[in-house]
Amino acid sequence: MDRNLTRRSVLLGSGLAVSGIGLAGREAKAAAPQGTLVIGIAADPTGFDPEAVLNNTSGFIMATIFDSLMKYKPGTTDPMPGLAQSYSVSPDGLTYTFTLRPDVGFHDGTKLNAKTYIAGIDRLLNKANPSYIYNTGPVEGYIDFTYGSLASYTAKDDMTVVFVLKAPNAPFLTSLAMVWNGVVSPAAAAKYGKDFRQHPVGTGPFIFREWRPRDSILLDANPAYWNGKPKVEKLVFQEYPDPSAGLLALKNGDMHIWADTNSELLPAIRADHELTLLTQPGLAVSGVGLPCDTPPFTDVRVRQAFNYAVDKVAIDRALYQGLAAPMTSPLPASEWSFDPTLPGYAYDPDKAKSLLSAAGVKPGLAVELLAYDSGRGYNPVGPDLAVAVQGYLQKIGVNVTVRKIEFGAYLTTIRSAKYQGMFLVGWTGDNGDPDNFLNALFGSPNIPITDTVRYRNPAVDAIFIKALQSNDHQTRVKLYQQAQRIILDDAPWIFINSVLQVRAVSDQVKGYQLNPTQMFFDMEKVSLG
Amino acid sequence: MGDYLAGRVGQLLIVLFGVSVVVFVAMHLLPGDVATLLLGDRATAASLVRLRHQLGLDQPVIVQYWRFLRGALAGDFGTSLRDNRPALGEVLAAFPVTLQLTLAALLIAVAIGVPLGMLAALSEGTWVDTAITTPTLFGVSMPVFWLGLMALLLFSEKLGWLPVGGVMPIGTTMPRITGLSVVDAVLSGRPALVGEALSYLVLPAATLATIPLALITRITRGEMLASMHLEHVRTARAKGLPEGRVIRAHVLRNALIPIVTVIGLQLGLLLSGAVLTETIFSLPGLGRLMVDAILARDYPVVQAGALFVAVVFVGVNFAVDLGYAALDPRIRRR
Repeated sequence: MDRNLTRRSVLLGSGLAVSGIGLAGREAKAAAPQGTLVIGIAADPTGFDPEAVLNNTSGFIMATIFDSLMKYKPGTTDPMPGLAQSYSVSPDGLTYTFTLRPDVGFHDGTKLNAKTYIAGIDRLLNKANPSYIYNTGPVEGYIDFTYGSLASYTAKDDMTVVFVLKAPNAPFLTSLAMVWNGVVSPAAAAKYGKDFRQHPVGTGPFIFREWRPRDSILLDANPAYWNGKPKVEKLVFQEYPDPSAGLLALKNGDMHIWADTNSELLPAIRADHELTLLTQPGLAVSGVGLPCDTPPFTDVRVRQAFNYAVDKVAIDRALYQGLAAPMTSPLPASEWSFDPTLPGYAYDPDKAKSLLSAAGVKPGLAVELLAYDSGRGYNPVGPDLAVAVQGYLQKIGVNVTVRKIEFGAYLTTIRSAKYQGMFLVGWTGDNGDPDNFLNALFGSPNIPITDTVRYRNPAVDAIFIKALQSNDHQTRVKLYQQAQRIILDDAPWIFINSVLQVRAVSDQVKGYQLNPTQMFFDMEKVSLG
Repeated sequence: MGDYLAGRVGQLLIVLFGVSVVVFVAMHLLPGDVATLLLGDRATAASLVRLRHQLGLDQPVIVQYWRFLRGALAGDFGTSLRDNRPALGEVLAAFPVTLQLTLAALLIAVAIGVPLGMLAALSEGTWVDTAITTPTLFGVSMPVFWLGLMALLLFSEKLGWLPVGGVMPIGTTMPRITGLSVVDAVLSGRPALVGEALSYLVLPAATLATIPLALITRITRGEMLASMHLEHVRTARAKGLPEGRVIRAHVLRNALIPIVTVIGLQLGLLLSGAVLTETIFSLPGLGRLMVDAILARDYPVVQAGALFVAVVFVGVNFAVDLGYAALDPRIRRR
């Protein structure tokens, strides 16, 4: 789900021109019409079939068109019933029973019931289904991720659906809340076939009207929305590929919420008293991967030394304009089960040096640090982070060579067992479940795809399995806190930071709340004052 | 004329084939593939294999090229790897935006540049000449992105006269007939929309016009001066023709051929996409489409766009040649 930031405008530098000049005029030549909420986006979406596409911009829009069976409690990644009115999980953790909300309709008039819901799932999983999603074009989404553990899906009665899993999978509920599991109208999917991606029909607070590529996406309020009629009549996602033009649009009143607020323009946004900067801990982590099976990184003291050697606070301030928090745990602070009592690794070059010498590492150790060549969602500064780390490691006598390559080549290299250097590493959460960070990044079954540092700890693996099998929230919290402590001590990464989610919002906007997944959920509650 | 046209069409086919090969090879030489870019960090080996298969990327390059060629000859350029829409459709939808922007910019550049250049030539060495030629030096060397932003700051932010960007006011519904917003506004029969469409066009067009304007002014001046010292002009003056007629019939007409060449070249260049202007002013034109497609390794769109641009280039060159013939009887007779 991480959006590659290669699309950052070539004109970023020009942003400084706008931010530096505080022109006072605020005549809204073409301010958005009353009752129309305008959200500024930087890139073009690629379509609106939740299970087929996989980029943030498409997700932003789909979150207003579709609902999922579960949803996130506003502002969090804790799951709660969405299109399901209630649910129950069998004691063995294998059977999930959902009762659907009555009186929910799709935008095309189709009624939501167990039959239509199951028809939507069937479209994803049954090759014989005439609307089978893999026959409509490339599928990038989360079908395997969500439904890979499914043994069966059935309509028990008119309003009850039952999922049976092959093995317990506690994050299943959270996964169902993802925007990528939005419930589509099976009638519309059958009617539009390959073109459904351009004609999305859901049950959400806004009804899709038109997509003008590289310009805008127009939506109308859904007056019959089950969770309350939206407070604005229309919603527009308007594209501003140039960040400086985006800022002007926000200042002029053409735009109300800037989905892709550019960090380079923060001084100008902060200086404008009619704009508000909303921030929230992000669902992302970023650091430097240390290949745990390769000397000298096989020695935990070396890995810890590298952690003590880097001043994360200074990096956050200088490189990230304060919009990142140092990692004190392998989990970001936005995750439930994050352990705030963990100390992380404070900057201590002396301790780093003594750990290195205890491990028998002589000054002058040469290591490569491989970097992707552009910014990413979890690391907007891209390879600059590698250069900063290089400087800090130099101070403890480690000579680092930074090599910068294209992202695809980078991914292939770090996943190859042959690669023995360090590398930039990062992750953006998919569903908001801690398993999706800790197990994905540090569970040995995920070597080398997402556990790219080849970290292998049987004790940690055992915790992950237990946590997946438990449906008791408190038990899971305790297990993940245990895992965090062990992984932090084992230091398979230089744990650098977790970027904040940042959005600039005009003062006219009321009732808008960020969600760690960055998606525009609960938009029916947003009004223009 | 028939032979000439046939020659031109043959030339076009060769150009198109060359472009298609170069683009195809170049896109395959670029590091990174679309599947990795689409799936990102969590791409598993299996998901990459499946997506590559769905996109047809698991075929040998030569087979992919053959498939493309076979489709292209039938008018089917495939679907975008990024958003699954017909590639040529995307190009054709984006082109009118660029066409309108380009024509407006060239109109400004020619309407102002040619008279200014003439004036400078006629006032050679005077303060008028200096007052015209000095700013044109800035004009040709002005970075468009900076100029565009300054124009936005002044006219949108400070004065509030003109909108920040886009094609029409946010959320406007207007039937898309030609894709040229001004023409569609006229055809829609809603006069207010015409004004709106123009107000969204003027800043980007003026920004895009700066370089061609400066260039056309300088070329006009230079060519006029060169022609003014030709022998036949001296003869024309010697036989007592009024100065106005000398300038119009003997100086300007001679000078126009290089000017038309420059205009044609600029037209071709601008039509292939004014990326920076389209980006600053949030215009959904061909330049942005192509840059997005290249960054996403979406080569059906890159391929369709490149071939389309090649056709446009050849077409513009052809028009310029016809222009020469109209201007110069010697070329017509050849």
